[in-house]
Amino acid sequence: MTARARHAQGGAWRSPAPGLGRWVDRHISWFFILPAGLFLAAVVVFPVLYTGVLSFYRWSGSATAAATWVGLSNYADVFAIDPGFRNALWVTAYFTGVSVLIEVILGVGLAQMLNREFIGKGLARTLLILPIAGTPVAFALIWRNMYNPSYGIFLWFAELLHLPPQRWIADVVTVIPSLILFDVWQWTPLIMLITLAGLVSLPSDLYEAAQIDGASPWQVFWRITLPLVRPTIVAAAMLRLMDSLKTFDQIYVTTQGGPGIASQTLNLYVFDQAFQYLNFGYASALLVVLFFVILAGNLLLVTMRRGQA
Amino acid sequence: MRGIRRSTFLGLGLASMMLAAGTNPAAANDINWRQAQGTEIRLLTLRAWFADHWRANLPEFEKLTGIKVVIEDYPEDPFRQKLAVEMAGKSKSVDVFTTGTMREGRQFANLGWYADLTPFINDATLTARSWDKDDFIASVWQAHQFQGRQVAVPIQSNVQLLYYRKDLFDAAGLAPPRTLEELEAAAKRLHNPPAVYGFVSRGRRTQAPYSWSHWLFANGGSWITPDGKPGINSPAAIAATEQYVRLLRSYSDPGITDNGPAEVQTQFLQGRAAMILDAVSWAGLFNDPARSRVAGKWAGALAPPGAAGATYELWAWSLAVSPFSDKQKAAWLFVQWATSKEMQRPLHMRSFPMPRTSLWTDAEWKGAVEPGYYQAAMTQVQAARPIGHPPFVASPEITDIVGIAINNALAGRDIKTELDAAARRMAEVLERTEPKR
Repeated sequence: MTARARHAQGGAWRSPAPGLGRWVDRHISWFFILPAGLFLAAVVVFPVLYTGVLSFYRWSGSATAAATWVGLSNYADVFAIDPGFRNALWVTAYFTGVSVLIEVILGVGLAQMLNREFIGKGLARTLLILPIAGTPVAFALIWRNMYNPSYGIFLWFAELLHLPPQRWIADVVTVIPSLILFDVWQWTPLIMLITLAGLVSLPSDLYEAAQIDGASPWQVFWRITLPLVRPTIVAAAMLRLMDSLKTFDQIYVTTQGGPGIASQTLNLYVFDQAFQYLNFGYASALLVVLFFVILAGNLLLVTMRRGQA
Repeated sequence: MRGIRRSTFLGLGLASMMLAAGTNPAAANDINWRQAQGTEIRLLTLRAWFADHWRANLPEFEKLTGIKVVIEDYPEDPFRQKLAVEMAGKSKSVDVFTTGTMREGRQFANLGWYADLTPFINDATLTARSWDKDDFIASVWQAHQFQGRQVAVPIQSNVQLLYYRKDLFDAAGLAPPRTLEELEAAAKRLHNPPAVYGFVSRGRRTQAPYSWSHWLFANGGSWITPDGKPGINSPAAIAATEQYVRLLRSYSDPGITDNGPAEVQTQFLQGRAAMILDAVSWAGLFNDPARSRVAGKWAGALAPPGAAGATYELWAWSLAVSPFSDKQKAAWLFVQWATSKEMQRPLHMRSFPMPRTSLWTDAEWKGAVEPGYYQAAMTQVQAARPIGHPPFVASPEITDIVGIAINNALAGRDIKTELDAAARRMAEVLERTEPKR
């Protein structure tokens, strides 16, 4: 701005090279975003590119032997022979699909409930938000103990309801539903919060008109509220979807991917390959694949949103 | 464990008197402890009782050497992740780190992630005579040698021994089991769920191999056959796994496929396990009346032998020096101090067994612990071998492959199918990772 202002005043300041000065003037806006751009390049672009490059190598972090170029062989292994990858892909889809769906339905319902006046509303909202406020690892440890089939609190609940004792996270069949329950408990409030923000900002004249026309509450919700708040819900769902596809600490602390590999999501599998087995090249290839899985999930949601609009 | 507590105070009292008299043996003056003063070193460690102990005593070290130590501790998984990233990047900022050589020793040695400590140990200007290398129990010391190099110094020596409920055994007129078959019979006899489970053990995928390996070796199996093929699906290994799985599926708690050390410990502390075969270091906790319902009600015994005789598996955490560090001299002075007899003694008195003969034969400790426990622990630690994990470069990956198979078998899948599949994957990994001989 200052340079431009001086220029306009008839050249109180003369650049040693007028061509350069003009060039700087014309592109001055780029200089303002340069720091942010460099920062992004360092912490985002470089690691992503580096992961991409590493995925064509076999490397264990050796100080004595160089990484070996293996071309596309890591990717070939991922898709052709690795049963661990196929299992992880299925576990990720199952866990994410079901938990995000339940969270959206419950979250929207709760938001609708909290969008009206009642006694104890503030308290209810605070209590509902608690699960997002805590540390996931601490909660995971608590849930792990609650699920213990011989001394956990869920054992007592099952007895109370005259249900046969369940093995929860210790059983191949019930482990994912148990983890989904935990995830729903923890993350439904996030969807609720975002949806609530959307609901509060809706124009009231449409509702008044509906009231005058004699619409039932169900019709109001279905025909007015939901279409208006849909973009907000889709945004919330997208946020949850991305996070859920990458879930790590919750599952790692409660089951470490077990029993067997029954709850080993893609992210857990990448962790094992990278930091337990030190197969950095192969883990990078898996990460690239995970990136495209997340991208595909989001594109799907975005398309849905456009289709609705 | 009131006796131990009193004696710990006595020991601390003696130590402080010695300090006052200026005869602290750690400060033995045959080396110049201040030769690296003014340096700052960084220690990356697992968050554990040993890290707490070092941190508490750090002012003493800094006073002795003029070296500042930054201790950075993390839970096990973040710790491993951090260490792997630093080492793969040849980072100069880590000087000392904790490592489990039974698990990753071959892998790290092969990657060049350990500095060779032999030159430091043999240098009379760097290593005090009172540190006394020969005091380390030979079996434990040697488990830290790879390719002719001393890669780390042990900071514990753990074996799995049998803890059994003496009160329950007496009431049933049973003697402690002397074979794995007797163990199964005793488990059957005492199994009374949900009040008491006959035998509780680690079954979680990442933990099962360590416990299971006792059955493997006691039944004559091994990780690998003499001609270099995976040994985990040999007839002996299958028989061993059948015994282990049958025992746990019949006489353990319902959470067996998810049990890790914390669960095994909790079940025994709460009096819900008649027997466990686990870490020798848990004795202090089990005898603490504030946290244990079985204080004074249990005894220790040898890990029972199987068809192929007696075998004891060793586990230890250790301290290593980074080969990328510019401050290896200061790092070594810290390792030497942290593994000195004086630093290890208070931990040993709390029944965190240390790798030094002089502490194991310490009359005060011997007099304070349960006699059966002492006998078993003493016998086992001297004959223990680092076989709880497979002896390969890719040990962590192969441990996991085997862990998945055992865990699936514990969940009810066919044992032979699981072990055959694991052997195939293990062969692939060996082909990819073992140095060609």
